[in-house]
Amino acid sequence: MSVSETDTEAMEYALGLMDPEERRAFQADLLDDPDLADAVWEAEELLAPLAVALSDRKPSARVLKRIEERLFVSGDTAAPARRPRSMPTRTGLAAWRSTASLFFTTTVAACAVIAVLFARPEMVLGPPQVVERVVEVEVPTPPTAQLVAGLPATGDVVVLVRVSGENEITVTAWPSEGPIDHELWLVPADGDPQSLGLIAKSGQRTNTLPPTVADQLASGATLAVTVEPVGGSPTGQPTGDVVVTGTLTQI
Amino acid sequence: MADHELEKLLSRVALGDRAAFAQLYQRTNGKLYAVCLRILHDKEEAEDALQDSYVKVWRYAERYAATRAAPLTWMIAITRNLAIDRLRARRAPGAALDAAEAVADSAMRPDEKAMAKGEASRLVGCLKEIGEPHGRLVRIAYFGGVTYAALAEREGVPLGTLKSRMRRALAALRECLLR
Repeated sequence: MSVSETDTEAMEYALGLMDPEERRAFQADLLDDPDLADAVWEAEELLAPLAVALSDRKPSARVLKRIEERLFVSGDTAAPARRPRSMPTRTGLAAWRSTASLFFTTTVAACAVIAVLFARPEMVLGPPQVVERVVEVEVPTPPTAQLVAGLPATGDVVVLVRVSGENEITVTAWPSEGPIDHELWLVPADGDPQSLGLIAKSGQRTNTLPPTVADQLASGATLAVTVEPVGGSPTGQPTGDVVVTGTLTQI
Repeated sequence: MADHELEKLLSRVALGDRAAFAQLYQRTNGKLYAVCLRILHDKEEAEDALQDSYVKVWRYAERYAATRAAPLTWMIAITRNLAIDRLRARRAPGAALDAAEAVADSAMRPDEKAMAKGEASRLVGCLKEIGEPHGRLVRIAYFGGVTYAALAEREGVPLGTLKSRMRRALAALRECLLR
């Protein structure tokens, strides 16, 4: 790709003009190519006068208050975390349970009842309030040992994650409106979150994971879903807010 | 506020300095709120988006250093993307484009303060130089986050045609700005 093509693409990307496939491909390139990231920032810099030219406007005084409440109250530590801050650390099982039925589109002969962790999904605005319950769900499972997790997406929809012995990860759909994508992450105990790919808006998706990522998936591993721009995080790390977390369980 | 002062504040924010964060807010909220209002046209939504932006600035402050952007550019990019996501999520696709067009039309009359600043007048000049409708479409995209597909449909132009024209216009825009 010639230099000028890259720079034009960087400008298209900064302006949000690309369609989802182009954007996704560009973001994949962004992960490996720091020069490309520089090009995007240069484009942002060239266009910034459009924003800077706006006359300053004054928000109400409560905005700062609310920001500080969100960040500094409710038990968060003072320092910004290197991973998304709304990630809860407790993943224990709670005492009470209820039953939920769910729809999982796959054809399998045997069904198994598994216990999955549910965290109450928090959308963008509030501090995370994790309510943990054990819920029994019926999940069709193939005979070999699997790692699974159930992540409640909305009132009726639970996203199921299944990791097979062959490093294949299957994720059911999270229907949503608008040009956002839900991205699934593995959150290791230390180190940066690893992307496990985007969650489809319909149907389900199966991907093969690279060994380095697959090796970190084990019973007890924490998963999280963030809301990202179309095509997923442009930076390779979560950029949006966490909307739900869960834990992989061996079945 | 000067870039190097904002950079110093951001590096202190990255270390968890709440006082620096409050100072950063005082010095930049006017501009970022203006961006949110320009995109969302609604005070409550704009204030919500502004909150989200500063929360993101706090959380990702340490990542700023890796970019070579000016500090305010970095914060504007965060804010603009958040506001556009919110715009797209809360309105029908057509309405988002309408709102963006209304913005672009009013942005065609740059206010005097903007013209006085070198960079802004250069950008305004270059947007004129690349001609219509490209200059207008760049503004629409910047403040409305609309895709080629949406623009092509709106302009009644085949997608391929619009893409190739816009790409030439963007290349010309960049060349003009870096002249």
